[in-house]
Amino acid sequence: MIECKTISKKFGAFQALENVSFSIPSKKCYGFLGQNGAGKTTVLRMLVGLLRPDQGEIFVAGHSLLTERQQVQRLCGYLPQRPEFYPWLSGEEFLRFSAELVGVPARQSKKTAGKYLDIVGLADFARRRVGKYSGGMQQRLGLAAALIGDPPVLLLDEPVSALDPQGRDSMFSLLKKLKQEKTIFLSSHILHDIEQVCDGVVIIHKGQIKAQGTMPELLKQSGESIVRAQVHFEVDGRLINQLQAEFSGAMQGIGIPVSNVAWQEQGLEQLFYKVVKQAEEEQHQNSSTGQGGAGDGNMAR
Amino acid sequence: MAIWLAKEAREMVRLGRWIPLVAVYLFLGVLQPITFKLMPLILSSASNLPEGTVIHIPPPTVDQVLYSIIGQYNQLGILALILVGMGLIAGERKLVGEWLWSKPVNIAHYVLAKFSVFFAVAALSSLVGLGIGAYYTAELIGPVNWSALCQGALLYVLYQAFLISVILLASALVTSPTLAGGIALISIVLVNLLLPMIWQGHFVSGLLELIQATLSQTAWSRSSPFWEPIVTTLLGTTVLIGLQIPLLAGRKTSH
Repeated sequence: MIECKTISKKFGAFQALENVSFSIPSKKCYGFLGQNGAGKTTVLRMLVGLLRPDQGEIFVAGHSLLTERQQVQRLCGYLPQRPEFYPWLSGEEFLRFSAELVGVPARQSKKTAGKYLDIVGLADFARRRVGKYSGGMQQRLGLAAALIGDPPVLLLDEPVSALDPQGRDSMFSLLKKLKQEKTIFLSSHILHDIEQVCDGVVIIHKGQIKAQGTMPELLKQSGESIVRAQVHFEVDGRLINQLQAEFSGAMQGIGIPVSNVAWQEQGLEQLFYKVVKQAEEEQHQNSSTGQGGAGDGNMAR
Repeated sequence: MAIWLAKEAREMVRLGRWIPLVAVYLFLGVLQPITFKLMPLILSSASNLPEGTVIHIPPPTVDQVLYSIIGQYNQLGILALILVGMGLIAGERKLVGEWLWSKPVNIAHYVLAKFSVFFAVAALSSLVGLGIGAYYTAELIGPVNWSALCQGALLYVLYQAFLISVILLASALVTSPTLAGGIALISIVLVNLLLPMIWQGHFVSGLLELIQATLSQTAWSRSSPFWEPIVTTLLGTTVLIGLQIPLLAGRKTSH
């Protein structure tokens, strides 16, 4: 459904993307995982025609973005990372405008707007001006605007970043329903978010694709190198110690020394990055000494 | 196109953008005839002249008063136009550009709707201002030739269309409304100052002369035909509006 072929992009001297290639199958939900600044937003903005790649090609449902941009834009609903809309319109007016923009007839736009406001849980705030919406409400309104017109592809740039835990849960429930009939590509730097809803993942690091595939494929590819750790969000010191012990053992088991890792972090996120960083350093050391890296192709979670 | 017109009209009303236009044009329209009528009184009461000094100011003609309204429109009126128009495209791109440009937007409809709504409000304000100014002129100064006034007013509205196309082009060039305002102001000042020097009687400068000739009911004295400034200003306006379409289409994918 979505196919990126060797796309590269430079901003001045900064190489933002380098030979990025991946494909997302139809009616699947894929996560786009990477640290802040890895190039996720750049790729998503390219997919909706907001940026032109310096080289490479992008196809959505067989349409080339370079030659059929409007056609591709009709197929994609896009939620920007920091959604900002006309503050002087009410939520309902904004969605009616969005609906008419993608071809919904004016006499049906009110009904359509009402339907999508209901879907994202903003029906009670339909007449409130968008300028008075909170960040989370704007994000939900943005999702409604992306959904309107029923596009087969949804491109969501960090769709839960401004939501509270309850909002995140309802967003993920909605995405789980939507993925039955739509191709969804959502970016996040939080593995846990991706894991909740996605069938597969594309991992980007410093503008380069590091891994891609379905979750089972990636697990199979990396085999014994997978490090599994079950972490709860609310952990006490005892659990941290237990985690540290289990994790250290697992890391040592696959040949990654953990002596230099400080284990004070309570978040899975920080832990994840520490492990990836450690694996990268290890890989770098091994390649400079001519050894095969223990972290090659690893996915730590 | 209809959705864009509706959205622009709503934006004009909700953000109160029409207020400076209506206020400035109406104020200038009313002010000029009253100022001309009361000028001797104002001068004698405001200055410390020796006792017995007699100030003799020849009474203004009707066309002088009416053209002075156009003159004021050309100063404060232009500033009001820039104030309202500088953010119309630049501000929108800055605020919602990422969402908006990801949609299959018809740029021609977008640009035409921006121009149409802005022009309609500006033209209506200036026409009403001129009408009120002419009424007071007729009451305070002397009889007005309404036919000549209507022709002059329509020519001024054409000039306004040109100004608006310059302002919108500046607003399409950059994403900072303030910078767009600066570019528009400099461009209009250059057009108003340089064109009469290098291209007198033609294009926009010719149009302003034609307005003056129409209001004073004097014959068009230039060698070029009277319709030439009208046609060239119309063409210039069309070109400036047309330029915004490829410019914004390019900006959609490169910002």
